[in-house]
Amino acid sequence: MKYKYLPYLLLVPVFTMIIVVVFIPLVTTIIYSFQSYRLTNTEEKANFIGLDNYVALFQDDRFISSLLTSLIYIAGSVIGMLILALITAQLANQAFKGRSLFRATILLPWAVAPVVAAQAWKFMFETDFGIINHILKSLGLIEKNIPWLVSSDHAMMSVILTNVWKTTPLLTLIIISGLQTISKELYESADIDGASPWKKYYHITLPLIRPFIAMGLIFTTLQTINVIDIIYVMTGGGPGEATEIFTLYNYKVFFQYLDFGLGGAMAVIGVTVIGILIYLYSRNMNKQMDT
Amino acid sequence: MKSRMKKLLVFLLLVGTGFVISACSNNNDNSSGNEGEDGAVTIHMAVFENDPGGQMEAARQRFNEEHDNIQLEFTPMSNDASQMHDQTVTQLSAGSDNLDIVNMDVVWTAEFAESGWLLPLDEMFTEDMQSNYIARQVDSVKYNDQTWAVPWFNDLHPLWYRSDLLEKYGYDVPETYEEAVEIAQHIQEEEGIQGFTMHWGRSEQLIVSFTEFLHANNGDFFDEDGNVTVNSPEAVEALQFMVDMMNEYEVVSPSAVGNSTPEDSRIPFTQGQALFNPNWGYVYSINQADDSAVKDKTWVASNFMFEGGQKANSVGGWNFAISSSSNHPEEAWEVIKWFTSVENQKEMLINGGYAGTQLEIYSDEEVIKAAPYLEEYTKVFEDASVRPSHPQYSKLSDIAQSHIHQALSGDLSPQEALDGLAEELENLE
Repeated sequence: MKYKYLPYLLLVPVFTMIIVVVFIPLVTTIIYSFQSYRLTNTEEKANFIGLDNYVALFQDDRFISSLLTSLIYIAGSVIGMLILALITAQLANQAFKGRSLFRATILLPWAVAPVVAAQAWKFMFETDFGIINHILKSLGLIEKNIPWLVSSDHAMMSVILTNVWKTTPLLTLIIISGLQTISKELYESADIDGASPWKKYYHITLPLIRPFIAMGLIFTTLQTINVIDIIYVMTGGGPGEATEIFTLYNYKVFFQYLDFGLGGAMAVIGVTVIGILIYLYSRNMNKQMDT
Repeated sequence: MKSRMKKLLVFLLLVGTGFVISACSNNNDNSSGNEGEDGAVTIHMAVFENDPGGQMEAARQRFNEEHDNIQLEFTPMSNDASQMHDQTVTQLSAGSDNLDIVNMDVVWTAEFAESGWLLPLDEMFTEDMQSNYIARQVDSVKYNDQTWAVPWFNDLHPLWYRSDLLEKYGYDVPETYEEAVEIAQHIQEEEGIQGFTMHWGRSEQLIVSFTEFLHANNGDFFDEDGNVTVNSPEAVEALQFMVDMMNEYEVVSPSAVGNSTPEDSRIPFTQGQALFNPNWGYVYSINQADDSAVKDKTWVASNFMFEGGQKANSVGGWNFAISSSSNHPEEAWEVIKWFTSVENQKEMLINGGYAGTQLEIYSDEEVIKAAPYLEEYTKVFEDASVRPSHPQYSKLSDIAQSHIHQALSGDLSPQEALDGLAEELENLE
């Protein structure tokens, strides 16, 4: 009786925080998206214009192409990360001398600030003085320097590579924790049945870490699309708009064009698209767990 | 034990809420622009974080010593112009009275004035006073026939070149781009260095450089009536030449398309790796440092032009304006007047190399003695070229960067790129 209201009282600070930093901005953004709201236009500020912003966006080639660019960026990053993380997690889960050092090392890229990592990779990808072209040349793999960041054929690949390097450790960490939940007895009985290592991996390990993979993919996808630092620093969205993901375009519309209406609509569409993506991940996960 | 846990939780809760409340109310405590204990008004002025030699801080202290009724405080902001733009806009659009004096890039005037964030200064900064300033810098603070700021820092984007190399191979400074390319090709081969080093990355610096090529070939973004002319034959020719400098004449490295800051192109020049570097005024003092590879080997001229065109050096610089949300515009004006006075500009030019905006300081004997290069440097100011003025400049610039960059990286032909740009500019309200 004495503590009847205590739980609610304890929740107040958290809820206040959530309302102030999540709920209010979210609602405000949605309201903006139905308004003509440009800071540089004092005459018509916050006029209700219905769906005009949304219509304008779907007629904007740049926005459509930025959505496609985002999907390529996410797909490339996530596939690269998944392959790398599965391998490194498996290695880090074996017992061998120096394992803790190995584990600490693979986490390092995750500990580096995105801006710093991006700047370092920008130097390495530099066409004339960059170390990557230098190494490729000394190995005799290329004759002419590859313009990594300044040609639209290579820029996307370069930023994906950087993002994979930067974000894989997060996925690795989650998968390692998944691997550690698997009971040794399962492998022992598989041994008795004479299962090959590959069969053990495919039939025991993979199904059991699937929920961890799905969760890891949600995190890394959000990280990939929301952290614009890497692209902002390395290419600024260029060449032209070849690496302009929609979050970067969204940032520009808000803070450079000062168009809160259009920016709001863009954010609403963006969140919806990401929401669908995450729904697909988790639905896929549940389905496969049921079978 | 259990009750102790609960007590601890309640304690944490109280601390937590207290923190939130104090964080929320923090703003009210130091609301500024109000009168201090001794009746002095506090004025907040935006400045760059970076203050070489502490000159700005020294000036602030001099000001505060001389004035009993006004206390000046600095609000330091990012040295990156785009970031500073976003910081300033956040303050101004929120109607904050925490920023009385705005420090404004030359290209922001139209945008800020149109948004109603500035007080018009026509009555304070009279035409009489304006005539004492460098005319181009005064033009940059006008919009809609009103004056919105006082020019403070005067910057230009001329051509810096290796005087020793031109002399060695018996060349005068060329007039046209065609000549310059030939000279660059010759010296490039003999010396094993790069002809031009450019900042053509996807940033504002690309617009600075493109505007110069455009004006050098008698092209422009808009004509006098505001019609879009950026896809005129002259403009296409100018952009084609920029592309050719990389691919055909090979005097600019294709990696220039990744150089998004002035520093990216300045560094190889100071290291002695290039012959020509169109860049901002700050290059000279770095080249003259003791550890520079090109000390006493570089000098300045106007950028080249095309046959029948005009020489064009982009105008830059910083201007002081008064926020319309300021509670103390009169005091803010006092501060601006003091900072832009001949005495203070002279002091800061002699001690810190701040190129001021008053005409008088450039003929002052003391100044010339302290910085002999100024006399010749100011000649290049005659070929000034101004980036387009537009209430949505940031958007205009971003769109232009995108299209021009696609031409430079070879994804579009110059004609296609500029046609696309023209179409988007026409739809820009």
